[in-house]
Amino acid sequence: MEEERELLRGNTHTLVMAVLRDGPMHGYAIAREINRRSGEALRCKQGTLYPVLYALEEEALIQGIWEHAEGERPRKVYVLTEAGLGELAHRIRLWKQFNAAMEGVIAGDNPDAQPA
Amino acid sequence: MHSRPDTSLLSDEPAPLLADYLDHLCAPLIGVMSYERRREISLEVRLHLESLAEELAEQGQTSEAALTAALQEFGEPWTVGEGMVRTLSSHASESSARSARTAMAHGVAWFGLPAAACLLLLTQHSVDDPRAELLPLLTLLTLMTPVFGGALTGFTSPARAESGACRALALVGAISLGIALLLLPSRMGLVFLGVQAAYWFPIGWLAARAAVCIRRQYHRGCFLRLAGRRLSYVSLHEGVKR
Repeated sequence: MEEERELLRGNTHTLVMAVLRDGPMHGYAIAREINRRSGEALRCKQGTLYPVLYALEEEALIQGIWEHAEGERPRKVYVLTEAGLGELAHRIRLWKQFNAAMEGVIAGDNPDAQPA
Repeated sequence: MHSRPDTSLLSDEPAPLLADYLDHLCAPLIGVMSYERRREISLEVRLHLESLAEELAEQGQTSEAALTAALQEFGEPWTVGEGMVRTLSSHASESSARSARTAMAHGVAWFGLPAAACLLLLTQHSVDDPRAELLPLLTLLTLMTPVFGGALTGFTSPARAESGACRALALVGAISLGIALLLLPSRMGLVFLGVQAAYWFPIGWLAARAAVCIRRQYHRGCFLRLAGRRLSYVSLHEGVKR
């Protein structure tokens, strides 16, 4: 469990931006969406999400806006900025390279276990 | 869409357990970020936790059990708060480096321009053919440059102003040395550099420091006046409640 958390910690920024690519969301919805899309495999303490959100906001990769809908409680929703979209594309490219490299090393010389 | 939350839309206070949790979460943030920002974070986390607790309550838990489970799910409050501090600290160090660069740039402008004027006047004023009419202006510039240069550096970029002034003076001194060696008789150039090292450096540093102190005192005065108003409001509010 601790190893999974360590792996997740370095990639939470990418996960948050990937979720926000599909539309604006508030913190609670982002946490739920990460859980849902990963089939509950990437489950972390939800509080760790907020330092990531504030870091991304400071870097202007996302923008937080307070929404005040009629008769509802206020909500801070986050939107992926243009800079965030570019950063996400860069991170996805890096992740794919890293993943392919890992697959190659793990498969070794066994032809039956070559990466797809 | 707003950049700040409208808390008037919240009619109720958070549950005591939740309020205590939020106090612990925001405690590491005191002194790191403003009261308004802490309040905003506290509200955002509160809304998250209440949504999570409502969802757990819908699954059949009692409201107390649902809230406790939501707090566990969110994580230990001190750890979450310190995570936020770490995030902001890394940005603070970047901001500090940016402030140092700004202070140096301002210092170069405030010291460099009078230094250039001094050098220009010195080139007009040769030892063999002294021009008496230039001497008062040259003396005035030499005496006042560190006072005004340091003060302006302190006022325009108070963060890291003293080190910015010293680094700017070092740069201006190095450039002056090059120009003096090229354009001025060696004795006159050395005197000018001696004045920069012995007079401009300490006075420039002191003037920058004094300007920063004056600016801080001014802002502290504004803060105390504001805090006084808030204090009287709290006393009044407490009196009404009693």
